[in-house]
Amino acid sequence: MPRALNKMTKGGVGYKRPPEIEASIDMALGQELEEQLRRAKIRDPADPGYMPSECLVHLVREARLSGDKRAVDRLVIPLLSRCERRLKRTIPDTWSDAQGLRDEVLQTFCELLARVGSNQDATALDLFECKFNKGLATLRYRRIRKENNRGKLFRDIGREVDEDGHPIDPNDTLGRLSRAAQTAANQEDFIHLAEMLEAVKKLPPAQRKAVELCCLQGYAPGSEDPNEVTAATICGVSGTAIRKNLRKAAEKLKAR
Amino acid sequence: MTANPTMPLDDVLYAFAMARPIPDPGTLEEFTRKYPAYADELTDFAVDLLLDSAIEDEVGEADDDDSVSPAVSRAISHFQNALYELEKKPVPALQAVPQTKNPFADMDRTRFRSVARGLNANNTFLIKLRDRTIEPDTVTSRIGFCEKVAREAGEPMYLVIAHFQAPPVLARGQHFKSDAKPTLSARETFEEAVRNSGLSPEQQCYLLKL
Repeated sequence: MPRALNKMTKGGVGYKRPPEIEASIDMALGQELEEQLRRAKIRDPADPGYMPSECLVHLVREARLSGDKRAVDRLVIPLLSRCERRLKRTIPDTWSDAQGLRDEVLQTFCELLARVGSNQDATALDLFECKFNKGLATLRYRRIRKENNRGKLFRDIGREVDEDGHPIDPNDTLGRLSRAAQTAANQEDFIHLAEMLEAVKKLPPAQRKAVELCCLQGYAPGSEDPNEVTAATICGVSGTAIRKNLRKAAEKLKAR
Repeated sequence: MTANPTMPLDDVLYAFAMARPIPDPGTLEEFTRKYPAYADELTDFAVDLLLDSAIEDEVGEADDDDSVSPAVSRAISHFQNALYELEKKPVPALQAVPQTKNPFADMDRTRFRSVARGLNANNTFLIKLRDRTIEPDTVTSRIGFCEKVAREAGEPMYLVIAHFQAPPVLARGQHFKSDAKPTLSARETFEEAVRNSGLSPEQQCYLLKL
Protein backbone atom coordinates (compact mmCIF):
# COMPACT_ATOMS: atom_id res chain seq x y z
CA MET A 1 0.00 0.00 0.00
CA PRO A 2 1.69 3.29 -1.06
CA ARG A 3 2.26 6.01 1.48
CA ALA A 4 -0.72 8.39 1.69
CA LEU A 5 -0.41 11.85 0.21
CA ASN A 6 -0.17 14.81 2.57
CA LYS A 7 -1.61 17.73 0.67
CA MET A 8 -5.09 18.66 1.82
CA THR A 9 -7.81 20.49 0.01
CA LYS A 10 -9.48 23.45 1.70
CA GLY A 11 -12.22 21.10 2.91
CA GLY A 12 -9.64 19.03 4.76
CA VAL A 13 -9.76 16.13 2.32
CA GLY A 14 -6.43 14.62 1.29
CA TYR A 15 -5.42 14.30 -2.35
CA LYS A 16 -5.94 10.79 -3.70
CA ARG A 17 -4.07 9.07 -6.50
CA PRO A 18 -6.16 7.45 -9.23
CA PRO A 19 -6.65 3.71 -8.53
CA GLU A 20 -4.53 2.64 -11.52
CA ILE A 21 -1.61 4.71 -10.21
CA GLU A 22 -1.98 3.18 -6.74
CA ALA A 23 -1.86 -0.29 -8.33
CA SER A 24 1.16 0.62 -10.44
CA ILE A 25 3.02 1.95 -7.38
CA ASP A 26 2.16 -1.20 -5.42
CA MET A 27 3.67 -3.33 -8.13
CA ALA A 28 6.79 -1.16 -8.57
CA LEU A 29 7.52 -1.09 -4.83
CA GLY A 30 7.87 -4.87 -4.93
CA GLN A 31 10.43 -4.77 -7.73
CA GLU A 32 14.23 -4.58 -7.63
CA LEU A 33 15.89 -1.28 -8.53
CA GLU A 34 17.22 -2.68 -11.83
CA GLU A 35 13.72 -3.67 -12.91
CA GLN A 36 12.32 -0.31 -11.84
CA LEU A 37 15.01 1.37 -13.93
CA ARG A 38 14.32 -0.80 -16.95
CA ARG A 39 10.65 0.11 -16.78
CA ALA A 40 11.36 3.79 -16.13
CA LYS A 41 13.25 4.00 -19.42
CA ILE A 42 10.34 2.70 -21.51
CA ARG A 43 8.76 5.59 -23.39
CA ASP A 44 5.75 3.96 -24.96
CA PRO A 45 2.69 4.00 -22.66
CA ALA A 46 1.28 1.07 -24.68
CA ASP A 47 4.23 -1.14 -23.66
CA PRO A 48 3.12 -3.54 -20.87
CA GLY A 49 6.26 -2.70 -18.87
CA TYR A 50 5.71 1.07 -19.06
CA MET A 51 5.84 2.81 -15.70
CA PRO A 52 3.57 5.87 -15.32
CA SER A 53 5.49 9.03 -14.46
CA GLU A 54 3.30 9.44 -11.35
CA CYS A 55 4.68 6.12 -10.13
CA LEU A 56 8.26 7.15 -10.90
CA VAL A 57 7.84 10.32 -8.84
CA HIS A 58 6.64 8.18 -5.94
CA LEU A 59 9.67 5.88 -6.18
CA VAL A 60 12.09 8.81 -6.09
CA ARG A 61 10.26 10.28 -3.08
CA GLU A 62 10.35 6.95 -1.29
CA ALA A 63 14.05 6.55 -2.01
CA ARG A 64 14.67 10.05 -0.62
CA LEU A 65 12.62 9.31 2.49
CA SER A 66 14.39 6.02 3.15
CA GLY A 67 17.82 7.56 2.50
CA ASP A 68 18.55 5.22 -0.42
CA LYS A 69 20.92 7.56 -2.21
CA ARG A 70 21.87 5.07 -4.89
CA ALA A 71 18.23 4.62 -5.91
CA VAL A 72 17.69 8.40 -5.91
CA ASP A 73 20.74 9.03 -8.09
CA ARG A 74 19.66 6.42 -10.62
CA LEU A 75 15.88 6.93 -10.71
CA VAL A 76 16.08 10.69 -10.90
CA ILE A 77 17.70 10.46 -14.36
CA PRO A 78 14.76 8.85 -16.22
CA LEU A 79 12.38 11.04 -14.24
CA LEU A 80 14.09 14.26 -15.29
CA SER A 81 14.41 12.96 -18.85
CA ARG A 82 10.64 12.49 -18.94
CA CYS A 83 10.14 16.00 -17.57
CA GLU A 84 12.42 17.37 -20.25
CA ARG A 85 10.61 15.55 -23.05
CA ARG A 86 7.24 16.82 -21.83
CA LEU A 87 8.53 20.36 -21.47
CA LYS A 88 9.93 20.25 -24.99
CA ARG A 89 6.40 19.47 -26.18
CA THR A 90 4.68 22.10 -24.07
CA ILE A 91 7.31 24.86 -24.30
CA PRO A 92 8.17 24.64 -27.98
CA ASP A 93 11.15 26.39 -29.52
CA THR A 94 8.80 28.98 -30.99
CA TRP A 95 8.62 30.64 -27.56
CA SER A 96 11.18 33.25 -26.67
CA ASP A 97 13.96 31.79 -24.51
CA ALA A 98 12.24 28.39 -24.62
CA GLN A 99 15.32 26.56 -23.37
CA GLY A 100 15.74 28.98 -20.48
CA LEU A 101 12.10 28.49 -19.49
CA ARG A 102 12.42 24.72 -19.66
CA ASP A 103 15.58 24.85 -17.55
CA GLU A 104 13.87 26.97 -14.91
CA VAL A 105 10.84 24.69 -14.68
CA LEU A 106 13.11 21.65 -14.41
CA GLN A 107 15.10 23.36 -11.68
CA THR A 108 11.96 24.18 -9.71
CA PHE A 109 10.94 20.54 -9.96
CA CYS A 110 14.42 19.49 -8.75
CA GLU A 111 14.12 21.83 -5.77
CA LEU A 112 10.82 20.18 -4.83
CA LEU A 113 12.44 16.75 -5.08
CA ALA A 114 15.36 17.89 -2.92
CA ARG A 115 12.97 19.06 -0.21
CA VAL A 116 11.57 15.56 0.31
CA GLY A 117 12.66 14.28 3.68
CA SER A 118 13.80 17.73 4.83
CA ASN A 119 11.76 19.99 7.05
CA GLN A 120 10.67 22.02 4.04
CA ASP A 121 7.32 21.65 2.34
CA ALA A 122 7.37 19.20 -0.56
CA THR A 123 3.65 18.52 -0.69
CA ALA A 124 3.45 20.23 -4.08
CA LEU A 125 4.80 16.93 -5.42
CA ASP A 126 1.52 15.26 -4.45
CA LEU A 127 -0.03 16.64 -7.61
CA PHE A 128 2.73 14.95 -9.63
CA GLU A 129 1.77 11.61 -8.08
CA CYS A 130 -1.85 12.12 -9.14
CA LYS A 131 -1.49 13.86 -12.51
CA PHE A 132 2.12 14.25 -13.57
CA ASN A 133 1.51 16.35 -16.69
CA LYS A 134 -0.73 18.71 -14.75
CA GLY A 135 1.96 19.10 -12.12
CA LEU A 136 4.41 20.20 -14.78
CA ALA A 137 1.77 22.42 -16.39
CA THR A 138 1.28 24.14 -13.04
CA LEU A 139 5.00 24.81 -12.58
CA ARG A 140 5.21 26.10 -16.15
CA TYR A 141 2.22 28.37 -15.64
CA ARG A 142 3.61 29.78 -12.39
CA ARG A 143 6.91 30.54 -14.09
CA ILE A 144 5.26 32.26 -17.04
CA ARG A 145 2.85 34.17 -14.80
CA LYS A 146 5.81 35.70 -12.97
CA GLU A 147 6.62 37.74 -16.06
CA ASN A 148 2.99 38.37 -16.86
CA ASN A 149 3.91 37.40 -20.37
CA ARG A 150 3.34 34.13 -22.09
CA GLY A 151 6.28 34.87 -24.33
CA LYS A 152 4.92 32.96 -27.26
CA LEU A 153 5.82 33.92 -30.78
CA PHE A 154 3.20 32.63 -33.19
CA ARG A 155 3.19 32.88 -36.95
CA ASP A 156 -0.01 34.54 -38.18
CA ILE A 157 -1.75 31.51 -39.64
CA GLY A 158 -4.27 33.74 -41.41
CA ARG A 159 -1.52 34.93 -43.76
CA GLU A 160 -0.49 31.46 -44.87
CA VAL A 161 -1.20 30.69 -48.51
CA ASP A 162 -1.04 27.45 -50.48
CA GLU A 163 1.15 26.88 -53.53
CA ASP A 164 -1.42 28.61 -55.76
CA GLY A 165 -1.37 31.68 -53.54
CA HIS A 166 -4.81 31.07 -52.01
CA PRO A 167 -5.27 31.62 -48.26
CA ILE A 168 -5.42 28.28 -46.45
CA ASP A 169 -7.73 29.68 -43.76
CA PRO A 170 -10.09 32.16 -45.50
CA ASN A 171 -12.67 32.10 -42.69
CA ASP A 172 -10.09 32.67 -39.96
CA THR A 173 -11.14 29.47 -38.19
CA LEU A 174 -7.57 28.44 -37.42
CA GLY A 175 -6.54 32.04 -36.85
CA ARG A 176 -9.03 32.40 -34.02
CA LEU A 177 -7.94 29.12 -32.50
CA SER A 178 -4.32 30.24 -32.68
CA ARG A 179 -5.07 33.62 -31.08
CA ALA A 180 -7.03 31.98 -28.26
CA ALA A 181 -4.00 29.76 -27.59
CA GLN A 182 -1.47 32.57 -27.43
CA THR A 183 -3.01 35.57 -25.73
CA ALA A 184 -4.10 36.22 -22.18
CA ALA A 185 -7.48 34.56 -22.06
CA ASN A 186 -10.99 35.54 -21.10
CA GLN A 187 -13.76 33.08 -20.32
CA GLU A 188 -15.22 33.45 -23.80
CA ASP A 189 -11.88 32.40 -25.31
CA PHE A 190 -11.78 29.46 -22.94
CA ILE A 191 -15.22 28.22 -24.02
CA HIS A 192 -14.32 28.66 -27.69
CA LEU A 193 -11.01 26.86 -27.16
CA ALA A 194 -12.65 24.01 -25.24
CA GLU A 195 -15.14 23.45 -28.06
CA MET A 196 -12.53 23.72 -30.78
CA LEU A 197 -10.11 21.34 -29.08
CA GLU A 198 -12.86 18.74 -28.83
CA ALA A 199 -13.39 19.12 -32.58
CA VAL A 200 -9.63 19.02 -33.25
CA LYS A 201 -9.44 15.65 -31.48
CA LYS A 202 -11.78 14.20 -34.09
CA LEU A 203 -9.62 15.25 -37.05
CA PRO A 204 -7.55 12.63 -38.90
CA PRO A 205 -4.08 12.28 -37.28
CA ALA A 206 -2.11 14.22 -39.93
CA GLN A 207 -4.53 17.16 -39.81
CA ARG A 208 -4.65 17.09 -36.04
CA LYS A 209 -0.86 17.12 -35.84
CA ALA A 210 -0.66 20.07 -38.26
CA VAL A 211 -3.18 22.05 -36.19
CA GLU A 212 -1.43 21.16 -32.94
CA LEU A 213 1.99 22.28 -34.19
CA CYS A 214 0.93 25.41 -36.10
CA CYS A 215 -2.05 26.71 -34.11
CA LEU A 216 -1.33 25.55 -30.56
CA GLN A 217 2.45 25.57 -30.51
CA GLY A 218 3.21 28.31 -33.02
CA TYR A 219 5.45 26.48 -35.49
CA ALA A 220 5.47 27.74 -39.08
CA PRO A 221 4.09 25.16 -41.55
CA GLY A 222 7.36 25.17 -43.51
CA SER A 223 10.31 27.38 -44.29
CA GLU A 224 12.88 27.98 -47.01
CA ASP A 225 15.51 28.07 -44.30
CA PRO A 226 16.63 24.43 -43.92
CA ASN A 227 17.80 25.11 -40.36
CA GLU A 228 14.44 26.37 -39.11
CA VAL A 229 12.41 23.89 -37.07
CA THR A 230 8.93 23.86 -38.57
CA ALA A 231 5.86 21.63 -38.55
CA ALA A 232 7.19 20.17 -41.80
CA THR A 233 10.60 19.26 -40.37
CA ILE A 234 9.01 17.82 -37.21
CA CYS A 235 6.61 15.63 -39.22
CA GLY A 236 9.16 14.79 -41.90
CA VAL A 237 6.95 16.03 -44.73
CA SER A 238 6.94 19.09 -47.01
CA GLY A 239 5.55 22.47 -46.02
CA THR A 240 3.01 22.02 -48.83
CA ALA A 241 1.69 18.84 -47.20
CA ILE A 242 1.29 20.66 -43.87
CA ARG A 243 -0.56 23.55 -45.54
CA LYS A 244 -2.88 21.08 -47.30
CA ASN A 245 -3.67 19.45 -43.97
CA LEU A 246 -4.28 22.85 -42.39
CA ARG A 247 -6.65 23.81 -45.21
CA LYS A 248 -8.62 20.55 -44.83
CA ALA A 249 -8.69 20.96 -41.05
CA ALA A 250 -9.94 24.55 -41.39
CA GLU A 251 -12.78 23.40 -43.65
CA LYS A 252 -13.82 20.66 -41.24
CA LEU A 253 -13.59 22.87 -38.16
CA LYS A 254 -15.59 25.59 -39.86
CA ALA A 255 -18.30 23.09 -40.79
CA ARG A 256 -18.57 21.57 -37.31
CA MET B 1 -17.81 36.67 -2.81
CA THR B 2 -14.29 36.06 -1.63
CA ALA B 3 -12.62 39.37 -2.31
CA ASN B 4 -9.56 38.44 -0.25
CA PRO B 5 -9.37 34.68 -0.50
CA THR B 6 -7.74 32.96 2.42
CA MET B 7 -6.45 30.23 0.16
CA PRO B 8 -3.14 31.01 -1.60
CA LEU B 9 -3.27 31.18 -5.37
CA ASP B 10 -1.04 28.13 -5.77
CA ASP B 11 -3.43 26.01 -3.71
CA VAL B 12 -6.39 27.25 -5.72
CA LEU B 13 -4.57 26.34 -8.93
CA TYR B 14 -3.75 22.88 -7.58
CA ALA B 15 -7.36 22.35 -6.57
CA PHE B 16 -8.52 23.49 -10.00
CA ALA B 17 -6.04 21.18 -11.75
CA MET B 18 -7.32 18.25 -9.70
CA ALA B 19 -11.02 19.01 -10.12
CA ARG B 20 -11.51 17.51 -13.60
CA PRO B 21 -9.35 15.47 -15.98
CA ILE B 22 -9.82 18.28 -18.51
CA PRO B 23 -11.11 21.66 -17.27
CA ASP B 24 -14.57 22.53 -18.50
CA PRO B 25 -16.47 25.84 -18.53
CA GLY B 26 -18.66 24.76 -15.59
CA THR B 27 -15.71 24.06 -13.31
CA LEU B 28 -14.02 27.29 -14.36
CA GLU B 29 -17.14 29.26 -13.57
CA GLU B 30 -17.50 27.54 -10.21
CA PHE B 31 -13.92 28.40 -9.25
CA THR B 32 -14.02 31.97 -10.51
CA ARG B 33 -17.22 32.53 -8.53
CA LYS B 34 -15.61 31.09 -5.43
CA TYR B 35 -12.31 32.95 -5.91
CA PRO B 36 -13.13 36.11 -7.89
CA ALA B 37 -9.82 37.69 -6.94
CA TYR B 38 -8.09 34.95 -8.93
CA ALA B 39 -10.52 34.96 -11.88
CA ASP B 40 -7.94 36.12 -14.42
CA GLU B 41 -5.30 33.67 -13.25
CA LEU B 42 -7.78 30.80 -13.18
CA THR B 43 -9.01 31.54 -16.70
CA ASP B 44 -5.49 31.82 -18.03
CA PHE B 45 -4.49 28.63 -16.22
CA ALA B 46 -7.57 26.82 -17.56
CA VAL B 47 -6.47 27.68 -21.10
CA ASP B 48 -2.99 26.41 -20.33
CA LEU B 49 -4.38 23.13 -18.98
CA LEU B 50 -6.65 22.76 -21.99
CA LEU B 51 -3.75 23.22 -24.37
CA ASP B 52 -1.61 20.91 -22.28
CA SER B 53 -4.22 18.17 -22.47
CA ALA B 54 -4.36 18.57 -26.25
CA ILE B 55 -0.63 17.90 -26.57
CA GLU B 56 0.11 14.22 -26.38
CA ASP B 57 3.31 12.78 -24.99
CA GLU B 58 5.93 11.84 -27.49
CA VAL B 59 6.17 8.09 -27.94
CA GLY B 60 9.67 6.85 -28.63
CA GLU B 61 12.09 3.99 -28.26
CA ALA B 62 13.20 3.09 -24.75
CA ASP B 63 16.34 4.87 -23.61
CA ASP B 64 18.93 2.15 -23.97
CA ASP B 65 21.81 3.80 -22.15
CA ASP B 66 22.42 6.13 -19.25
CA SER B 67 23.51 9.12 -21.31
CA VAL B 68 21.51 12.26 -20.62
CA SER B 69 20.94 15.51 -22.45
CA PRO B 70 22.76 18.68 -21.40
CA ALA B 71 19.48 20.07 -19.98
CA VAL B 72 18.97 17.00 -17.78
CA SER B 73 22.62 17.12 -16.79
CA ARG B 74 22.18 20.73 -15.64
CA ALA B 75 19.01 19.73 -13.77
CA ILE B 76 20.81 16.88 -11.99
CA SER B 77 23.55 19.27 -10.99
CA HIS B 78 20.94 21.68 -9.68
CA PHE B 79 19.26 18.85 -7.77
CA GLN B 80 22.56 17.80 -6.18
CA ASN B 81 23.33 21.39 -5.24
CA ALA B 82 19.85 21.83 -3.73
CA LEU B 83 20.34 18.62 -1.72
CA TYR B 84 23.70 19.81 -0.53
CA GLU B 85 22.31 23.15 0.52
CA LEU B 86 19.40 21.59 2.41
CA GLU B 87 21.56 18.97 4.12
CA LYS B 88 24.25 21.40 5.19
CA LYS B 89 22.03 24.24 6.32
CA PRO B 90 22.95 26.81 7.47
CA VAL B 91 25.57 27.08 4.78
CA PRO B 92 26.74 29.74 2.36
CA ALA B 93 24.79 30.33 -0.84
CA LEU B 94 24.55 27.77 -3.62
CA GLN B 95 27.18 29.51 -5.70
CA ALA B 96 29.78 28.59 -3.12
CA VAL B 97 29.20 24.86 -3.55
CA PRO B 98 31.40 24.23 -6.58
CA GLN B 99 34.31 25.99 -4.88
CA THR B 100 33.84 24.19 -1.59
CA LYS B 101 36.21 21.40 -2.34
CA ASN B 102 38.21 20.03 -5.21
CA PRO B 103 38.03 16.28 -4.52
CA PHE B 104 41.46 15.76 -6.10
CA ALA B 105 43.27 18.75 -4.62
CA ASP B 106 44.36 17.22 -1.33
CA MET B 107 45.44 13.86 -2.72
CA ASP B 108 49.10 13.00 -2.33
CA ARG B 109 50.96 11.49 -5.27
CA THR B 110 50.29 7.89 -4.22
CA ARG B 111 46.60 8.45 -3.71
CA PHE B 112 46.35 10.39 -6.99
CA ARG B 113 47.92 7.49 -8.92
CA SER B 114 45.73 4.99 -7.13
CA VAL B 115 42.57 6.87 -8.12
CA ALA B 116 43.82 7.08 -11.72
CA ARG B 117 44.39 3.31 -11.72
CA GLY B 118 40.96 2.73 -10.17
CA LEU B 119 39.42 4.64 -13.06
CA ASN B 120 41.47 2.56 -15.51
CA ALA B 121 43.05 5.85 -16.63
CA ASN B 122 46.39 7.63 -16.18
CA ASN B 123 47.70 10.72 -14.40
CA THR B 124 47.33 12.94 -17.47
CA PHE B 125 43.62 12.22 -17.69
CA LEU B 126 43.14 12.65 -13.95
CA ILE B 127 44.90 16.03 -14.06
CA LYS B 128 42.33 17.12 -16.66
CA LEU B 129 39.60 16.10 -14.26
CA ARG B 130 41.32 17.84 -11.37
CA ASP B 131 41.89 21.10 -13.25
CA ARG B 132 38.44 20.98 -14.88
CA THR B 133 39.77 21.38 -18.39
CA ILE B 134 36.88 19.33 -19.78
CA GLU B 135 33.56 20.81 -20.92
CA PRO B 136 31.27 20.24 -17.90
CA ASP B 137 28.18 19.07 -19.80
CA THR B 138 30.16 16.40 -21.63
CA VAL B 139 31.30 14.91 -18.29
CA THR B 140 28.25 15.33 -16.10
CA SER B 141 25.98 13.84 -18.76
CA ARG B 142 27.89 10.57 -18.17
CA ILE B 143 26.38 9.59 -14.87
CA GLY B 144 28.09 6.18 -14.86
CA PHE B 145 31.46 7.87 -15.14
CA CYS B 146 30.64 10.42 -12.41
CA GLU B 147 29.53 7.59 -10.12
CA LYS B 148 32.81 5.78 -10.76
CA VAL B 149 34.84 8.93 -10.00
CA ALA B 150 32.83 9.48 -6.80
CA ARG B 151 33.49 5.89 -5.71
CA GLU B 152 37.21 5.97 -6.48
CA ALA B 153 37.71 9.40 -4.92
CA GLY B 154 35.60 8.46 -1.89
CA GLU B 155 33.55 11.63 -2.26
CA PRO B 156 29.79 12.16 -2.58
CA MET B 157 28.36 12.35 -6.09
CA TYR B 158 27.06 15.92 -5.66
CA LEU B 159 30.54 17.16 -4.82
CA VAL B 160 32.07 15.47 -7.86
CA ILE B 161 29.39 16.92 -10.16
CA ALA B 162 29.70 20.36 -8.57
CA HIS B 163 33.47 20.15 -9.10
CA PHE B 164 33.11 19.36 -12.80
CA GLN B 165 30.59 22.19 -13.23
CA ALA B 166 32.90 24.82 -11.75
CA PRO B 167 35.23 27.02 -13.84
CA PRO B 168 38.66 25.62 -14.84
CA VAL B 169 41.61 26.31 -12.57
CA LEU B 170 45.34 26.60 -12.82
CA ALA B 171 46.66 24.09 -10.35
CA ARG B 172 48.54 25.69 -7.49
CA GLY B 173 51.97 24.47 -6.56
CA GLN B 174 52.80 23.54 -10.14
CA HIS B 175 55.96 24.83 -11.83
CA PHE B 176 55.73 26.47 -15.21
CA LYS B 177 58.71 26.97 -17.54
CA SER B 178 57.57 30.07 -19.35
CA ASP B 179 58.40 33.73 -19.55
CA ALA B 180 54.72 34.61 -19.70
CA LYS B 181 52.14 34.07 -17.03
CA PRO B 182 50.34 30.75 -17.65
CA THR B 183 46.77 31.06 -18.90
CA LEU B 184 43.88 28.66 -19.19
CA SER B 185 43.50 26.92 -22.52
CA ALA B 186 40.20 26.02 -24.19
CA ARG B 187 38.34 23.12 -22.67
CA GLU B 188 38.14 19.74 -24.38
CA THR B 189 35.07 17.56 -24.65
CA PHE B 190 35.08 14.40 -22.57
CA GLU B 191 35.76 12.30 -25.64
CA GLU B 192 38.65 14.53 -26.74
CA ALA B 193 40.12 14.36 -23.25
CA VAL B 194 39.96 10.56 -23.35
CA ARG B 195 41.47 10.43 -26.85
CA ASN B 196 44.25 12.93 -26.11
CA SER B 197 45.60 11.66 -22.82
CA GLY B 198 47.86 8.89 -24.02
CA LEU B 199 45.47 6.16 -22.90
CA SER B 200 45.51 2.73 -24.50
CA PRO B 201 42.63 1.84 -26.88
CA GLU B 202 41.24 -0.50 -24.20
CA GLN B 203 41.30 2.25 -21.57
CA GLN B 204 39.65 4.69 -23.99
CA CYS B 205 36.95 2.19 -24.83
CA TYR B 206 36.32 1.47 -21.14
CA LEU B 207 36.02 5.15 -20.15
CA LEU B 208 33.80 6.06 -23.07
CA LYS B 209 31.42 3.24 -22.22
CA LEU B 210 30.99 4.19 -18.56
